[in-house]
Amino acid sequence: MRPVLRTTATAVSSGLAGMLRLIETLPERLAQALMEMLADLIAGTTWRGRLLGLTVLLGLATLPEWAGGGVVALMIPVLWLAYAAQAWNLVSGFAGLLSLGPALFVGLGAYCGAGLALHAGIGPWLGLWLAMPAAALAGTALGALALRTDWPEVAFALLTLIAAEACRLGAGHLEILGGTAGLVLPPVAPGGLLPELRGHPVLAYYLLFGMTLTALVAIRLLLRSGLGYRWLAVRENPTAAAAVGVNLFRTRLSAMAVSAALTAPAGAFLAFFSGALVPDQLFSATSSMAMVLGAVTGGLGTLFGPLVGALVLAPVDAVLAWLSQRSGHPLPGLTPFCYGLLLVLVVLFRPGGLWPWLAHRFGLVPPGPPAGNRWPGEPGP
Amino acid sequence: MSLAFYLNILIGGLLTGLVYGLAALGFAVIFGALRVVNFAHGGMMVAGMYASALVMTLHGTDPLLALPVDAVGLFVFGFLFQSLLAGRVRRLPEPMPSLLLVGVALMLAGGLSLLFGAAPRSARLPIGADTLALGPLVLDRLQVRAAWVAVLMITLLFVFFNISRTGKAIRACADNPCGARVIGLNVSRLQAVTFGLGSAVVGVAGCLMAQTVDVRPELVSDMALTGFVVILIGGPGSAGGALLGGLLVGMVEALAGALVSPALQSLAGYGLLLVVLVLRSLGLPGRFPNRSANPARHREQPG
Repeated sequence: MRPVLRTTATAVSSGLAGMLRLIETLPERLAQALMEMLADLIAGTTWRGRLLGLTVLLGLATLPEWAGGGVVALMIPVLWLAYAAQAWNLVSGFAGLLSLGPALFVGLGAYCGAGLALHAGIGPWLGLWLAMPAAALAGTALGALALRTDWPEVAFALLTLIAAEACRLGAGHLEILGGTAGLVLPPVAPGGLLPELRGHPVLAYYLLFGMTLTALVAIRLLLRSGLGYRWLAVRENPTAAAAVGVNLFRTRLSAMAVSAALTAPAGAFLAFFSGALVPDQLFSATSSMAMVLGAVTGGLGTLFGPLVGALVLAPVDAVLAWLSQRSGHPLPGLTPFCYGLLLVLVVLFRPGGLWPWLAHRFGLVPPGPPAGNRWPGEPGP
Repeated sequence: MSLAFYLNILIGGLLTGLVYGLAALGFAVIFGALRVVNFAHGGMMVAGMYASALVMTLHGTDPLLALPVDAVGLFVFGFLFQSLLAGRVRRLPEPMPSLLLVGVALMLAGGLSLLFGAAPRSARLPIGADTLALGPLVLDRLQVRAAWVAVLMITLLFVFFNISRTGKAIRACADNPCGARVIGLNVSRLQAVTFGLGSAVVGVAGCLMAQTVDVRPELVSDMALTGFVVILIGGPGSAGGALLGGLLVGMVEALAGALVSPALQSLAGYGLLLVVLVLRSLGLPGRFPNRSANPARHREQPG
């Protein structure tokens, strides 16, 4: 990307001849940039890993063709969690700043999208571009308040937790957002309606698939940019990063803003897919914890961890739903208890998460420790 | 709306605030010595509340008698947690120790809800309406009693940390774990004692809270969030800040509850936090940002 930009700048300054030459070589340069991007994407994997990645990618892309509707319906929450956990992973895994209220941005995205659609008649596709900056702004404000204190990391974790709860209470008291009963979007005609973002599960599946894939590629490319290296540096050693001139405050704030902006579409999707918004569910601590748990189980600070974690968490959720149905009366404590247990077990026995372990075990990445990207205490290859 | 009316509300809030302050003190003990954020704050507090409700219903005695039960039970819980679980993740980089406590907090919240069900339980004595008149001021006798115990506990805690050998040893560990080990202190044991002590203080605060509030599982998150608001206002490692934050939050919540709506009580606390944080980030009161704090120093762990 960079060389293209730089050449563009020099071409403009050197006049029309340069411009013409650039236009002549543009397809070639674009292809080169694309190849560079692709090489970046698959860097650090073995052929076996690339083959498996391609298989999974093709398998997921054609899933509605070869699997039944039931599987598609099952995969929707999995992909949703993978996407949301990936967005959380950006700030807490890659920038090393523990956020405990990602549901805040899910709720914000949902209410922005639905509120604009209901009150201003702005469709979801346009509303999304308003919801993302709104969430980024909220994340920036929150981060700015927390990171200016004496204990930035502590204040950040506690403040995100508090903010999610404050928004839950606040949304419950705002009449324009439907109060505690929530907002209900008017039903639409059956069938897949892309402009309305509502309707058929296959449509929702492909939408989520695209979102997850985009997030994966975007985060990978971001991590290979200067900003991404600054995030990693701040995570690994804030003091050393500050000593070499990284602005801790600004770097962490940017991670929070990007993560919040990435989380908002998950909320908007949820709003239009389910058609009903309840503050107690959207902003709930349990949904925050599902995102945290998804990323941590799969591997905090890894690209494929959230996807693996979401796949692991889906059967857990299914068993929990079955158990509480079996027992006959609602058991509100069951899900938090089991999530907590799982979190404790993961932290104690596999702190690096499942994905790095699996990747080493099955030779998807070259043997030997990846450069500076391993948790101490994680079993070596 | 006379002056006495406002004074009554403020004093009621002050008495509740003392209990908030005591709970935050338990958090500050743990954070000050171990640099660990006790996310299980709310769960521990509500566990203490349930214990006093149980003592009340099983034995029909004064729920304050549950105080030693709470203190010992939560001390053992905290001691075991630190020595069995937290010690194992000590060497892992930062989000991991915090996530362990988040997991324990979730288990406590879910476990209490599974164990006791959704129905509220009371640990209040039937003298609830009994009041103490001081001129125009009318005080709730139960609240006054709880506040007295809170003051007593706070005094005991200060005495412990400033006079007793163990208290001084804990402070030495907090100051410099490596040096403490060099002079022959059993640092990991002392850290377990510290976590136990902090938990016990939070449990006692829960026991006092149960004197005036019915116990429900949802209180876990309410108590945790109120506690975190208090801690963020006062500063996480400071004992004086914890007390001051507790009193402030108690009074603001009481005022908002009486003047606007009881449902908005906790929102008022969050609003206060917002004001404090905005003022602090503008650099008005308090010490200004993280430039003076050296993050490396707080990362020091023994071993």
